[in-house]
Amino acid sequence: MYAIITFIIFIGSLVLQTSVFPKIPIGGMQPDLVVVIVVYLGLLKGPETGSLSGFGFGLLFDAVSGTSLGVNALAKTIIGFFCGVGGRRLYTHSMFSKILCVGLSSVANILLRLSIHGFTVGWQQVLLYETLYTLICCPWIVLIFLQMEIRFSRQTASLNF
Amino acid sequence: MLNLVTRYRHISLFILLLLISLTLVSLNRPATTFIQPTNILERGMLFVLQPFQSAASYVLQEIQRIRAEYFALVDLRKKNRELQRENAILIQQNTLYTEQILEYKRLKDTLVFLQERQFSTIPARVIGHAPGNQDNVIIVDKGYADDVQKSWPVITPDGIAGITISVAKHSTKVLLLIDPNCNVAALIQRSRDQGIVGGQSNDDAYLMKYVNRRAIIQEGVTYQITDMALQELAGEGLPGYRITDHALLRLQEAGLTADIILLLEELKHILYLSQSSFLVAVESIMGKEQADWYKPLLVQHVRADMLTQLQQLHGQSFADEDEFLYRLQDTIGLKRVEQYRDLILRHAKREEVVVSSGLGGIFPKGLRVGTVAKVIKQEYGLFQDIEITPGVDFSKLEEVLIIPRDSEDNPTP
Repeated sequence: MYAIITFIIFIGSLVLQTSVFPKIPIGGMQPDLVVVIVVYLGLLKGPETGSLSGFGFGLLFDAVSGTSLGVNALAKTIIGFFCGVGGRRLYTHSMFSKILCVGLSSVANILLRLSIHGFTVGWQQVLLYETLYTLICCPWIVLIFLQMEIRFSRQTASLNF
Repeated sequence: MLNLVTRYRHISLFILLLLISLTLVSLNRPATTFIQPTNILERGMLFVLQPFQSAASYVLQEIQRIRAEYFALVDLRKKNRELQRENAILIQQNTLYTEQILEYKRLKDTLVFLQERQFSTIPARVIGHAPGNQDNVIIVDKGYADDVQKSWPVITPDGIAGITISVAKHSTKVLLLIDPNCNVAALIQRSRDQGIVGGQSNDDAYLMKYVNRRAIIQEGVTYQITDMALQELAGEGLPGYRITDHALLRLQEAGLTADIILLLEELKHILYLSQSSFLVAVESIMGKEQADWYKPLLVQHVRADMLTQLQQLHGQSFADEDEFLYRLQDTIGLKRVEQYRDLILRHAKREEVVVSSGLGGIFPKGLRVGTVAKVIKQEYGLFQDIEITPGVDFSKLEEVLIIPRDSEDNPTP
């Protein structure tokens, strides 16, 4: 059930990223909401879930975006894995720590993509504005996940009871 | 080996996924080519996302449209306010220009009047009225600094307005003729019957007293087609000159020589719309000298068309304008009445005009006072009284002319 809802959130993020955010860019850039999802899952569920979600969502993202298949899959797999490892060793339960992780992951994601595609002119602007925009959108995605988890925990508690 | 993989499960998984990703990346096409979704994953994702993307795009477009319309409405409101302000300013300016045009027309009439009269005047503007309702006084913006003195006549192109009574440096008080204390020696222009015209504190009428009881004075306005009226109408361009056989016969009877009659036969049955065009034609056939010589005779007998038709009303007098116009319509037709109505009324209108006689030494001779409205005749006495409609409209007095009198001829009022 959790997986289904996570997938729905992923689809919703893709829809927003392809249909809504292009109309309201910041500095000409859109956020990468998939990074937020992958980071969250990695922090919460560990490196396995982080890697798998990164790979899966990254691959689907590549399929939609039209870039070469595997680029986003590679970048997000790495991000998911390291967030999972970090989540076990560091305190990442507060919103601030999540936002920090998202910020660092977004930078890493962009650099990984650019290292495959090549560092074009104005890559600093891409790095700055995409990271900024992703950070702005991060709390909303996290809140949606938290709400989902609260409902699940209530349901589980009621079932157990 | 298997234990190692199982023990470090997450690292193994990560490495596996990494390898798969790298493999996929290594198999990619150049970024410059147009990528078409040929594999099932891409097609599947597009298929799944398409309805959500369409819905999100539609919603966003609607939001943008509403936002644009709202901003457009706000902008429209702002523009509307600006246009209203601008419109108010333009209306004000238009009113000002209209006022200036009217003032120009009035001053032009005054100038024409002065040119005809050829006496010096001091133009002045009315700047105030007396505060009391019973006071028939105006204040003008010229005073002794402009050489204005007491007891000088004040006129307008329409007639006598009053007399100066109190002079300050830059302003003067003028007693209007409608005041009972202001009088002018006058006479009926046609019959030369004399009297004294004074005000009755009434804008609508003066009273002319001490008119000989035996004087026959026409009351009000009448409309008549007289010979003089026909001549004036012909001079103003009323159409109707045609040489007919009957006209030639009349001219022969009037004493025109045979050779002239023969020349005039060339112009037979041609209708000339105006007197001037007819005379030009006559000049062309008989020369200017002869045309000038025979002009009065020709003009009298060669009337045709409308002038001849108007002759039918000669000698008739109409007290009512509507009745006159009704008869006119019967005579010359509705279309011509509409075309020449004002011209004919102007020359057919007959009324007794009252002018200043020059006696008394204040008002010059010949200045218009008004027109006779009503004759008040008692059954006894030597005199009759006449109610006169003022020539000047005192409610619309804006500019006046002060006539300087000679310093030795300046009696105290």
